[in-house]
Amino acid sequence: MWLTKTSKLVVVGMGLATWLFIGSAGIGQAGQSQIVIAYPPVSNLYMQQRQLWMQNRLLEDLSEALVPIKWPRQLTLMAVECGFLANGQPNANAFYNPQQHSITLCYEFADYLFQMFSQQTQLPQNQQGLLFSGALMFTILHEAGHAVIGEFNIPAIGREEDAADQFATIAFVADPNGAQLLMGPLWWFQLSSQQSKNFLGFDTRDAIRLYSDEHGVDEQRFYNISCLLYGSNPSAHQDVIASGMLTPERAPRCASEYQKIRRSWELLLTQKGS
Amino acid sequence: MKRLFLACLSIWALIALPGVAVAESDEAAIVRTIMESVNAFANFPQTKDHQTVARFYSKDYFGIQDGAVMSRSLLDKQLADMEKMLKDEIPMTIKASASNVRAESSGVMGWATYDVSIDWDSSGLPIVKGNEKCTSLLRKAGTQWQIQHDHCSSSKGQPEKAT
Repeated sequence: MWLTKTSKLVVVGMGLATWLFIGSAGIGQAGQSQIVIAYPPVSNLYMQQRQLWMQNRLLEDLSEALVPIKWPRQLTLMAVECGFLANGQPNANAFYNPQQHSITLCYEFADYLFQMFSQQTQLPQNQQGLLFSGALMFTILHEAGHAVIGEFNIPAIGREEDAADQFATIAFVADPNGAQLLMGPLWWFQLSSQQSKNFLGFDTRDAIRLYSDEHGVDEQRFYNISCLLYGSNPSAHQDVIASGMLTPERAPRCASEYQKIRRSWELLLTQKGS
Repeated sequence: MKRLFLACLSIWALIALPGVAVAESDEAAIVRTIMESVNAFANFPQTKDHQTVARFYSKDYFGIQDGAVMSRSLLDKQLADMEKMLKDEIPMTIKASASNVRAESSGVMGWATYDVSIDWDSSGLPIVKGNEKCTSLLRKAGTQWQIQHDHCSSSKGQPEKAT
């Protein structure tokens, strides 16, 4: 498949100088006090996980994705038990709430990613763990993108989900190890798109649900992220084309697409911070 | 970003710990069994396969609904009749959902309380419509939980607040 040739996930040291630290007035000054951490009570299903998350201060560490941004007001990051959907499936979600100025990570979402990657038994466990970590990091940064748009009142023309994906991808590729970790969300969208294809062949209602969703279909998210990864440094990421993660037709436009999107984010954040 | 990465890797490791993953939790499996059994019934007009519903019930199942007894053989017969109607293209619509599912377990036995909302009609004629309060007893067979007994009663109005 697409990713098997590029999944050399060897993370050596994480000296991560992130794109989020670019010098503008809106960002760049650590805002630890602006981030509030919350672990609301849960049922006995997640009692043990909540306790372990609290003991290991996991949300406090996850908030590193948010700290570089000088938020205009307090932002809450919380881990929540989100329950079940009407179809009986766990509500595996993560979301930004503009009314509560909060980012919620459902325990069920971490379980969902765990289930997905731990089933990739063709990979050694450490690679499964790295893919999981990349996908979860991407999710936190994706929600951080929504929060930046919401809290700074940045106009998002077009689909905000795409903008949030772009925000997260740019944050990844600005880091020396980001390209490797970006394999996590890419695997996630590839696996999820395979499930979607099963849906499409099975039941039209699922197809409607898929196409009417605010997110792009997983294949589009996959190729858009691959394009930004390649466009961030085409000579360093030739393998993205070679492995089929990006079509040769789109590849020539990815560098300018990356530059344009990165400049847009920087401009907007600078303006909002000044 | 290093802390972010390490936190994510820690979450992976914590979920991988035996007994932490919710997928291994009996209570979660019971909740899912109840939700999926109601969902399977709601999807019966689409699946037209009574096994998709029957598989959630043990061979010695019996239930009571508003005083009426439902044995496993009666359940099988009713589902088979429904399947025949559906295959004969007799229109049938089932809207059903479970909510407020609470589960506990002890060993191979488990129990759950929940609310069911149902709106079931055939050829435009209502068959069952309303809200029910249910209690189920479940038994673990291998890795699967099956409903051995349930008791549902029609509910009207809001439940009294616990004091």
